[in-house]
Amino acid sequence: MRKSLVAGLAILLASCSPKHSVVAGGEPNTGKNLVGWYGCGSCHEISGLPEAKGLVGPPLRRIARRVYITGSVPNTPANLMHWIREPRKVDARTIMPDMGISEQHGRDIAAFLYTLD
Amino acid sequence: MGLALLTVGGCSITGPAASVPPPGNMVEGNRQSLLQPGPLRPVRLVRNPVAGDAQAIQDGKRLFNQFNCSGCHGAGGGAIGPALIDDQWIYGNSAANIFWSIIEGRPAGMPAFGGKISEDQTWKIAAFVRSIANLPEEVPTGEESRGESDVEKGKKVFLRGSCVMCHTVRGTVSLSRVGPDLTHFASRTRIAAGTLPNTRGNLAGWILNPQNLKPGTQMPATQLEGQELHALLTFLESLK
Ligand code: HEC
Repeated sequence: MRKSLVAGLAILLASCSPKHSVVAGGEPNTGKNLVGWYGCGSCHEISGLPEAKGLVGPPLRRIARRVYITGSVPNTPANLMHWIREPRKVDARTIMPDMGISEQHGRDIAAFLYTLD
Repeated sequence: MGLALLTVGGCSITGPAASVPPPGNMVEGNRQSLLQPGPLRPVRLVRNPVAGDAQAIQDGKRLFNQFNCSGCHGAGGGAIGPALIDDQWIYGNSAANIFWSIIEGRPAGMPAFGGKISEDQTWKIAAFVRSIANLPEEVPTGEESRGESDVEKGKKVFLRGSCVMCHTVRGTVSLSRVGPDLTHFASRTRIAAGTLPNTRGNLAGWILNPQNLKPGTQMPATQLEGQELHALLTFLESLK
């Protein structure tokens, strides 16, 4: 676990001196696979993933540099994880579905999103 | 001209319709051929864009006569064709169901008006028909009857919208053979002709924007609100 944290941190630091620290306990490589499995790419373009070409929602890129996410909440790991796991609790009208994502998967996905160029 | 000649099951379509040039977008019916003369219409609505508009209902009344719907359905009480003011609806009474009955035609003599009538005119007629049948204005499915489960709400979204025009779910009025049979949808491991794992995210993206995921697919995009999509996903996931 500690190793993956360090790895995540390293990726993040190497990428673009992010404003936000790595998501505690999140594993970006696992997150990358999970994003493919859950099907985020059918609604989002995701930088670095050519197969993710969805145009229903906004493109996901440079998430670590964002000030706000979803146009409404400050960009913190907790807010990002909450959005990924229960978007309809954050915004009852959103078209982004709750996908039954577990706590750990939410962490992994958030950690991955923070590595995006 | 074509209209004046069109005779189906003894119900002859004559009258002023032939001289009314249909303005606006033309509507396509069920596609039996993959040949594509122009771009696909990108989005299908599931609610009547002119619902509750008194002027549209008046226009719908005029169009009902101009297209000679009255030739078979009388003033709504029925004649050669079935009554439209009772509560018997073989093919559903949502605005979208009525819209598609007009566009696609129905086997026992109802001609298909697809290609002869504009989208706007069809919605107006649907609004008029619902008004004479005294049906209440439609609201997004998630907003009514809050006691209902998501599966029940989602089934309504499915049956009221355009899904029924192409798909079968055995045990419902949805029995069309144009697209895949969805009776056991939740037991499938992949969707979109095998291109995507059958997960909620993929299913949602597919329903909202299939053309983008599989260019050339015959499945049109559907416009839904968040709560309708959520209920629809839950319904589809219940089809074991
Ligand atoms: C059905 C389509 C759909 C699916 C599937 C979907 N999203 Fe979204 N997503 C959206 C839409 C639409 C928005 C914009 C909503 C808003 O900002 O209120 C959004 C917003 C977001 C945002 C905020 C983006 C920003 O610019 O602030 C993130 C992050 C996100 N989604 C991540 C994901 C992840 C991770 C998955 C997969 C687990 C996923 N989404 C699956 C439709 C979808």
